Amino acid sequence: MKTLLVWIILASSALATEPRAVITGPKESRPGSLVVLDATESTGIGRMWLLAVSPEPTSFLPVENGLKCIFASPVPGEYVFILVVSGTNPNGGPAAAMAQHTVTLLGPRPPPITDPTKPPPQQATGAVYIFEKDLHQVPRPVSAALNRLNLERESFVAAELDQDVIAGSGQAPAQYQAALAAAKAAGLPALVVLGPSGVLRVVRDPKTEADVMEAVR
Amino acid sequence: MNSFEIIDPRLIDVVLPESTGYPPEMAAEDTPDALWDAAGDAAREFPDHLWIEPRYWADAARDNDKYNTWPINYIDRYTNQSPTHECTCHTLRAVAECARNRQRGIQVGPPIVGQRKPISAVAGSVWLSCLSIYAEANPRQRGGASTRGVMELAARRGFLPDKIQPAEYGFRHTLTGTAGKGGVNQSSGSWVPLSRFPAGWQSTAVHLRPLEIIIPRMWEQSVCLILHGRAVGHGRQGHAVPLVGWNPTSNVAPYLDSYDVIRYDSPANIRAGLVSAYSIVSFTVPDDWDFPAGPNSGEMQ
Repeated sequence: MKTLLVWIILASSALATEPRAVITGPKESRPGSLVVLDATESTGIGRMWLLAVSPEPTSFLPVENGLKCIFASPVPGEYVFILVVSGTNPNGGPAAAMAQHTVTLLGPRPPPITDPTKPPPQQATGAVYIFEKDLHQVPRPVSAALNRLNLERESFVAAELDQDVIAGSGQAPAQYQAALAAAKAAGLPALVVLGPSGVLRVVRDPKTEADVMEAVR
Repeated sequence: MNSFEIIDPRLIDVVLPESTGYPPEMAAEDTPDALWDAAGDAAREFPDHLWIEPRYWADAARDNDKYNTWPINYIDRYTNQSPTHECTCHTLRAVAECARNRQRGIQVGPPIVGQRKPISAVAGSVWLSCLSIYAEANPRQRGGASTRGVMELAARRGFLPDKIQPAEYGFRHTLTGTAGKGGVNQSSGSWVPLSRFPAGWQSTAVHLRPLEIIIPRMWEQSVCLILHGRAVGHGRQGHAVPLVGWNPTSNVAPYLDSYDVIRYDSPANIRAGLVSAYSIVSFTVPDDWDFPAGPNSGEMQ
């Protein structure tokens, strides 16, 4: 506010003009479309654009010395712009005029722009609860959740393993080597969620069925 | 499952009239220390954090009923040893299969007499051959085997899979499940001496081996293990059985008897069985659940 006052005083002292603020432009548009607001019918010397209300933080850009303002947003909703124009009153003192303009972006949010060079998010294909038998018991709701995942999700493999488990080879089971390493790094007990390419995420110490189901969602 | 139902007293602390394979001379070999030595690197003490005060046993039972996390919920078949002396090995297979299925995370149980459960095929359940242990534990065939003896064999070299499996796993080596009656989920056949095991059988058995075995020192610890979903094997009254639950109302533990029936042990019997009590808490995990004994390579023998 202090900055605004200084700006008005400086601008009004530069040129003695009775200020008038006028905004023209569309009142409705589509998400993602470019909206141009026009202040050329305004009189005065200094112009300042503000976005007073918006569904979420949005950038806008005054151009042509503030005579126009452009913006675009993917989010539907009401966007309330304020134009402040500075000048001088008939007595030669500083003055300002203000106008308000609301643009409503209608319709659904457009689909997100995806980067074709990046793979799509991976679906969980398995989960393993890893614990240390000497320190941890497997919570019964966690066992129940793992069973549920095994039965309800096609090709999904859920298991509960002590951290020292090995295969017949004497090595950590190949299918769980990455999971065991991830769980030990995160701290036991931990639920490791697996995807086609390996570990998707690690959740420390889940205790409820909801914890497990949320982790693999 | 309702673990609070009242139990018929005639099913509690049953003493079988015939010899089943755990006679006094075999039982005399078993002590907790002997079991500890037999388990070798797999032997583990009861972890303190698994202790549940007896006044909370009913609460834990209620939770197990709610979540289906009793040991019997992780066992999908009965086996039948009649009329052999293989009881310690039928007990061992139940305790081992419970541990393995628990790791796989699928509640395949409780078993149903005379039925094969479809879930066994999709759950990666592997049925272990009792004879693959007993044949070496007692080459004389008759007379039974100690818990110490069968545990040592399982921990050292593992089981062979039964000829009958719920799914096709492509095992290179299998063995008759029992020289006894068997059933729809257990193959039966003639006695097979160790010398007639399929050549190279050890390469399959090494994939089906207990890794960690808890030796309880108090009968209450046995109950705590059960309440945490771990089957407990023990021998008493001339017979070995796997304990798979706890009934707080009647104060007894149900066991899957290797005669296609569930019976119950009182605390007196659980205390008596402490000399041979054990619980398998981890078992080898395959590199791929679809191939429980390694990559499919070769025909079954």
